[in-house]
Amino acid sequence: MVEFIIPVRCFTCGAVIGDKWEEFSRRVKAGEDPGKVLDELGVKKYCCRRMLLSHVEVIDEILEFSKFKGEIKKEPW
Amino acid sequence: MKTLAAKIEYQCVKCGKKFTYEELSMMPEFKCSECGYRVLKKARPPIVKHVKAR
Amino acid sequence: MEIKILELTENKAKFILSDVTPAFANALRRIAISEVPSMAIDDVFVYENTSVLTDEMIAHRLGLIPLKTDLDSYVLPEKCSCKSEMGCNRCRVIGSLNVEAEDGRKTVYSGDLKFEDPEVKPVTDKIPIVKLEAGQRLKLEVHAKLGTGKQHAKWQPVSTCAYKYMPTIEVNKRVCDGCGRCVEACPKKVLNVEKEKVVVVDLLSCTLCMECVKVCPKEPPAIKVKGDDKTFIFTVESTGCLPVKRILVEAAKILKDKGEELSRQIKELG
Repeated sequence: MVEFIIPVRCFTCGAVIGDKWEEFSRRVKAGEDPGKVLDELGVKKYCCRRMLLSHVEVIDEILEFSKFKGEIKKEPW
Repeated sequence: MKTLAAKIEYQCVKCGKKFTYEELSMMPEFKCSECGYRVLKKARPPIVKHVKAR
Repeated sequence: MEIKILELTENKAKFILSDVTPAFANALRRIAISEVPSMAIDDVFVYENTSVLTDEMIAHRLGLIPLKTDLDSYVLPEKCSCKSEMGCNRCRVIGSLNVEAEDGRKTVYSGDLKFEDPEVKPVTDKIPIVKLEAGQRLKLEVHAKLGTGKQHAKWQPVSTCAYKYMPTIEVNKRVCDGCGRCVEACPKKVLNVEKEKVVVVDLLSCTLCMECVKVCPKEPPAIKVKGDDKTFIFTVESTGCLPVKRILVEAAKILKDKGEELSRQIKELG
């Protein structure tokens, strides 16, 4: 599934999975087997496993477009 | 409707200078008076927005 | 009624509840999911948001973060004596989130949320809320309230709350010849062949799929599988906002209150 940023909870059961994304994507990129990483992170139900396995973190690419080329004028609130 | 429109502020994307709708309609060309950049955006109104977290 | 605990940690419980009706077990399950209160962010006041996500998206994510709940210090807003829309110190907790990405990309985590009550905090600090590029700011005030799963799924204190019937597997030792077809057919590896007869090695894993009965070459099958509808194997997993033991105790209390309310209303009818 493609979402801006990893959803906070599994869509099906509601278990929190947002906190596991950073470690999962780092280890899978480094070459580890996704199934093994999910097991070690304690993600047991397959509804939660697919949340991490099929996620595409689109916000990283969108942030490239929000970069500001000029000088940033900050306003005090 | 015009008085409401007058309070809307626009902002230059590059240098951050703010303009009101009235000032913009009086300008001959649509560009920032300070840096000449032609892209303006609507400045976020200084209202605290209440959103339900649902 | 008897409870036998198979597994009990802070956030997960697996137990066998026996001598109750399916209606009772189901009532407990439904109340644990939708009527046990928990704490979650409900109102977000946005002062500044220059991130790439909209105010509503960020507010939605904030609402889903489970917060450590103190059921003894707070009340449900509907039941609070203050009867005010903005709430009081008994029915809501004020928190704030103030992050600026100075130079370079920065992720806003649930750990950046700060509440007035130090006991109220996110269950885990590592949930990413939004990512900011250099110069982007996020400044908002949040109100956390108690609520029930019935109102919104963010207030569900459990992720899993399910039960299954206790399986009873009978192998007719006179008829069974140990051919082993049921052992291979079982997806959960419940059976095994010992001394040319089939025996049960892992009864609790049986899912009552009946594959072993279907593949048995004998007529009638040498193996009989039934679910005992008076004994239930419960699995309950908390999201971390409340200890799982507390969730079940509260569920039982709410069920008892419902019964008492019904009894009181029937008595009033005369």
